[in-house]
Amino acid sequence: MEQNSNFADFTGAYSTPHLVGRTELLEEFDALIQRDSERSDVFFLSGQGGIGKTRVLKALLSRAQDNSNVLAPQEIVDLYHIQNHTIDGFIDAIWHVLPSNAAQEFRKYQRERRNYERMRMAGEIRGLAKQHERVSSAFLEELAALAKKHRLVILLDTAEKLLYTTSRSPAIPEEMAESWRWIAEKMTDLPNVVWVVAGRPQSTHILTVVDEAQANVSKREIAPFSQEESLAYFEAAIAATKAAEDEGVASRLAALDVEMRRAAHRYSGGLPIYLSLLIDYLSVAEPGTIPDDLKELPKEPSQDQAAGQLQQKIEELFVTRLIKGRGLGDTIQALGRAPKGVDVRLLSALLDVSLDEAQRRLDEVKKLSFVKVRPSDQRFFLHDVMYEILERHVFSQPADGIPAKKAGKTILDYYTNALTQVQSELGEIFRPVLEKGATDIDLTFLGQRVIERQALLAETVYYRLRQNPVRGYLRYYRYMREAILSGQVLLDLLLQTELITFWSERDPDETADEIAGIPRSILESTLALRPITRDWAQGAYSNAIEGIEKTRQRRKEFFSPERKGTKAIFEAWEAYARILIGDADNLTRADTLLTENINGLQPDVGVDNATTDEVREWRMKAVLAFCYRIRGYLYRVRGDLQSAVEDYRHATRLWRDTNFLIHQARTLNDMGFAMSELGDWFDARSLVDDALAILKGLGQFALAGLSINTLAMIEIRQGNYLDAQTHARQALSLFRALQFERGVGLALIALAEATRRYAGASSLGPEQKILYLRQARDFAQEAAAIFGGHEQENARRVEALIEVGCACRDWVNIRRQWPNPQDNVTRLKDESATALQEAARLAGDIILYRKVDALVNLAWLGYFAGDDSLMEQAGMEAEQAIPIEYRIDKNTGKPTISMSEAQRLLWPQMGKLFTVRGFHQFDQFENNKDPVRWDFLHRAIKEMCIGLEYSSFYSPNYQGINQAKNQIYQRMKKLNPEELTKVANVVSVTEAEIGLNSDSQQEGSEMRRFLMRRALWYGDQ
Amino acid sequence: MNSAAETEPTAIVDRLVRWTAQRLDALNPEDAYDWERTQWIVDKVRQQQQKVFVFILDSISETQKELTETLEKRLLRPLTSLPNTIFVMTGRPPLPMWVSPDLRVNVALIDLEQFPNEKLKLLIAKQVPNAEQLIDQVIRLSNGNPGLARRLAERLADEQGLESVLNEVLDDVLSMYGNPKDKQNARRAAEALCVLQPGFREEEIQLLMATRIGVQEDEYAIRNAREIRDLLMDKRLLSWDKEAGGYRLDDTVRILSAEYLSRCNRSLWISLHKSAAEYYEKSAIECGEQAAEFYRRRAEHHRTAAQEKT
Repeated sequence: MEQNSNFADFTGAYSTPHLVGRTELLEEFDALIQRDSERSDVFFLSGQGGIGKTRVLKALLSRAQDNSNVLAPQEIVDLYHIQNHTIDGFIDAIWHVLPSNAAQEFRKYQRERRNYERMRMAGEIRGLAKQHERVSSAFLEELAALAKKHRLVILLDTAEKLLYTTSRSPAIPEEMAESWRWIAEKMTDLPNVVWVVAGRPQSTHILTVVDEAQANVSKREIAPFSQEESLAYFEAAIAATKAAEDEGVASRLAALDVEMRRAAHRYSGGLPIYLSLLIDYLSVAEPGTIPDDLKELPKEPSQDQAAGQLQQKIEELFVTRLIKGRGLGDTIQALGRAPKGVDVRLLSALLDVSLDEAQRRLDEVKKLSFVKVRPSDQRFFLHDVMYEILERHVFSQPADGIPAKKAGKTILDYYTNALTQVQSELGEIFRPVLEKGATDIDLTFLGQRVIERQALLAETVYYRLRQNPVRGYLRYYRYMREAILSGQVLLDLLLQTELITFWSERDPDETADEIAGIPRSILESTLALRPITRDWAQGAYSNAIEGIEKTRQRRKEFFSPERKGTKAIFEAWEAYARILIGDADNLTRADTLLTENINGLQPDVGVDNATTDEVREWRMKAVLAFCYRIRGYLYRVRGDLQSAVEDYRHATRLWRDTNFLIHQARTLNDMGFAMSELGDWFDARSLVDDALAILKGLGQFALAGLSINTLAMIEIRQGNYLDAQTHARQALSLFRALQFERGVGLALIALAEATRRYAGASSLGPEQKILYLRQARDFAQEAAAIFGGHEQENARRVEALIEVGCACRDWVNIRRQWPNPQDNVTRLKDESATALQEAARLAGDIILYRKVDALVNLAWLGYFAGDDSLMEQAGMEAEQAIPIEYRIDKNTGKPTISMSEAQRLLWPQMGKLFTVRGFHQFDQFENNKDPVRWDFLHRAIKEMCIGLEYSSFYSPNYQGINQAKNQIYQRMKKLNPEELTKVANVVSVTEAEIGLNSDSQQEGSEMRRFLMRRALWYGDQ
Repeated sequence: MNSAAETEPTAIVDRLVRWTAQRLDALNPEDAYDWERTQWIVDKVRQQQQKVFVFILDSISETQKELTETLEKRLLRPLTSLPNTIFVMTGRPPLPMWVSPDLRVNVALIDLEQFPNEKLKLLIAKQVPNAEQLIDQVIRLSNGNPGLARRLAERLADEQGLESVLNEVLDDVLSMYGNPKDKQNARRAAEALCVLQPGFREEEIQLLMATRIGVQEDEYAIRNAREIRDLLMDKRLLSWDKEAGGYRLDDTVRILSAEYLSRCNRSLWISLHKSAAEYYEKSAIECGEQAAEFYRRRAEHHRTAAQEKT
């Protein structure tokens, strides 16, 4: 006996084959597409959830397809997908939905697109932005051409997703997907195109960016069904059940009298979703179980409360229906557990059934009117209203604790596995880059994986916030920082949307002081900071500072003394932006901001305060760590490496406490770099290796690229130029693959320096050396363009310009020895001088060691080019720039400034300056005869002796010193014993002059030790 | 109408229609078409508007779907449209899914209430006079069900041991399952779930079925728990309790099973309660504030029950 088979089928809720009602809307649409227009038309359909917007869009699509005068797409573009929120993704989506013959007409677009992809593959970052413009222009041009031939219709669904914020707080500026802002602006260039857009009522806000003077905008509200439409819907449902060959359900529905159908209309409020549920219920309700209310037309609901009661009744009936729905009911409940969509794998895990069984179940629910399927990834969703019903009646019950927890774990496991899978795929993509330095990775595939990963991270936050809000917030915070630090602005926007949505759900009245354990004040400030950090991530540092200034004016409470953490995080980002702009005023301001906030926060962190909640305490530590890290970076930029390392150490400890792996890795990396500058290469390398391992583990290949680049920098300082080139190329490949422009710039600087130094240190022939120097110059120029363009970062631009200057300088040096008419030495000299002078100017007194670096290199240019006046002038300027306390005190043989306070990088620059003067004198010695030449030798040895002494204050292992020593050795080894005896004498005299007493200090000067080690010391003869 | 599945539904309905025609003294020639005979019955009823015709169909839920469909088409649907007909049907849910709104919508569903204790006492005193000293026990175990009370009283009065009587009565109650395997599974499920308070979910079914069978929880798949759920729901032995936010086992089955288990398999009884207690204690910690108190109370209930003496 099987009386109840229909309970399992839900046939009554099958989608109806044809649209019911909406006659006026359809007629209006028909009229709209029938006439050509000299402007774009926006036909905007708004309506609440469950009103049938998508169904209407499908019907409009079908009508457009049936109209021979109209070019209609094959599908609707669903803005639910985040890919369609980017301009590229949006263009691609439209192109893909066009009929294939029309899509083929986009020849120019396809060509430009291929070029764009090729450039991305080749890493041609510099021209990429322009090429991107060419792609979008070609697309618009050909879309416009198409629309000239036919009236063109494009349909966009789920427009509410284009809005990332809901303007809940004045501190949160409303933000819209870039794709919509772009197309709205371009509509003026697209006459005769009909944009049919459907979304919930709040999505009408997207029309604010559509210029109504240039586009015809018609807004229509999709209203609930009229009674006649509801009655027609009954007939359509009966037809659908007949088509499904469920005669039993069809007969039972057909047998319902009109009075009951009218009652159903009234109960449903004319919302198709509720009507569908009611019809399904009525089709299987057992004898005597249909509530009396449904048997006759209820009184007109006069109040919201009455309407709510009717709705409640329908929902209860649905839940009863669901429970009796056996397997299908389980599937619907499983779909309800995962509002971000369920695919066959997740359903299999949620229901503990085989993949085949899961697929069968998905096929089963596909026909239901309240189930939606996303074609691109075959994820299944319930209608929004269904999620709400399940939440109200099943998932919010205390008894749901266990199944909710179990489902939550299953979902998180699924996401963890999916992320692991994506990260493994990313690892595979990057393997040839990391292992072989390859650059020909599949960027399209990579792009898809990156987008997929971003979606997975955002969805993980969605679930985690709902399972454990505090943990969810912490996870949000970590991912958000990851997004910003790796320049993934879209990810940051998605995460923000998740946090705001959660907040809206839990605090609909915007009155709670605490949202599920997260202080409201923290949520507000966290969200208010987002646009500022996004500006930062896009290199718009001035905008970021301006944003903070505005916030300071508008949200004074964020900067009040009671909200130390909030004030500090805003000001730390301000400081970070100012450091990256890098001029004197900005660096000074950054220092003040960071030091004030560190001093303010430090006493509160680590104090066991019973009133401090978990979120506040965690955040306070994270903010302090961030301040230390940024100040460490500031010190590094200024060349104060000891202080930088000290701050990085503070930060690292705090990152460990907060389990902020991404920051920990970045700080270890930066600390490693600073230590390498101090000559502590082994510790430095170890820290950077650690950072690299953490970042690879996190799947953070962009940031791993920065660590790889740091390894290259350390290797340069160690003098391992080949290894340095390998690492710099690896980093460059990674950054180019990821289009991480700042990273590209950094890797180019490292690669330029490694290549240039390799050319100088190797035993290559002159032409080969020049080949390398040319490469080094080009790398550095590209970096300088990057840091002077979109990625404005003064300190990095200075570094890049110095590299341009040095490469050309060394080139001049070789060409002076091995002339070749293909190179114009004067032009090369000018190129070098211009770059170095610009670097010195940009560095100013605030990045003093870089200014001195540029000037000293200019002096060397003068030396190599045989331009004594340039050498002297630049040397003098460099000397003038160096504060007096850095000079050797003749009483002590040491500088007066303490080692801990000094910008130690100034000393090797001073060393280089004295060395070049020494070499110049030595040349004179070699080119002159007795007795004049002895004076030159005396002066040469004195300069070189002082130069080595200054360099040794920085680090005795500094590669610059070793390089200088080798060059000195090349000169000294040519001297005869008599000359070497004179050299020793000069060294002794110089030691006495600079306060080094060789009797009391047995080692004497660095020069003395060097000559002794190289068996050139003739002072004991 | 007594249910009979031995013959084809069409033949049974045909006999029934002929029988009805005969009882109503309607035209009933041997060679009439089916529709003619139905029409004559309808005509007969319609002609006697001053009379109310009452049709009684007993145990309708025990009838095959094909039979009820044919019956509705041939006889019931034409008659329900007449104002002077009343149909009285008995049965336990699930009831036939009639098509006609007059059979499905315009229906007064009367749930036969439990007998109050006083009434039960009278009933037993009358029907099983020698069970007077057993009345309290019978009332407690029968949950107000007069048929069950009578069976219990009779068998206990025959001096059968309580354990054996409970075993038999449970078997009787579950005899609604024709398939012996289904019946066995339902019996096991009843014994496993009888310890639970209303408002449990599939996860608790999984846990207690595992305990009942003597395997680890993870060795008993949740899909098996769902099968058990469906098996019990098919016969309305399990239903959704809106207030409790979960399922509840049929009260009669729960009482009988609990009594049987606590007497005949005390160690399993304790083991089931302990499993539930541990599970809920763990869940109270892991499932968030909203559920914590709910699970704590449940854990306490099971902890106490596990320690109670017979």
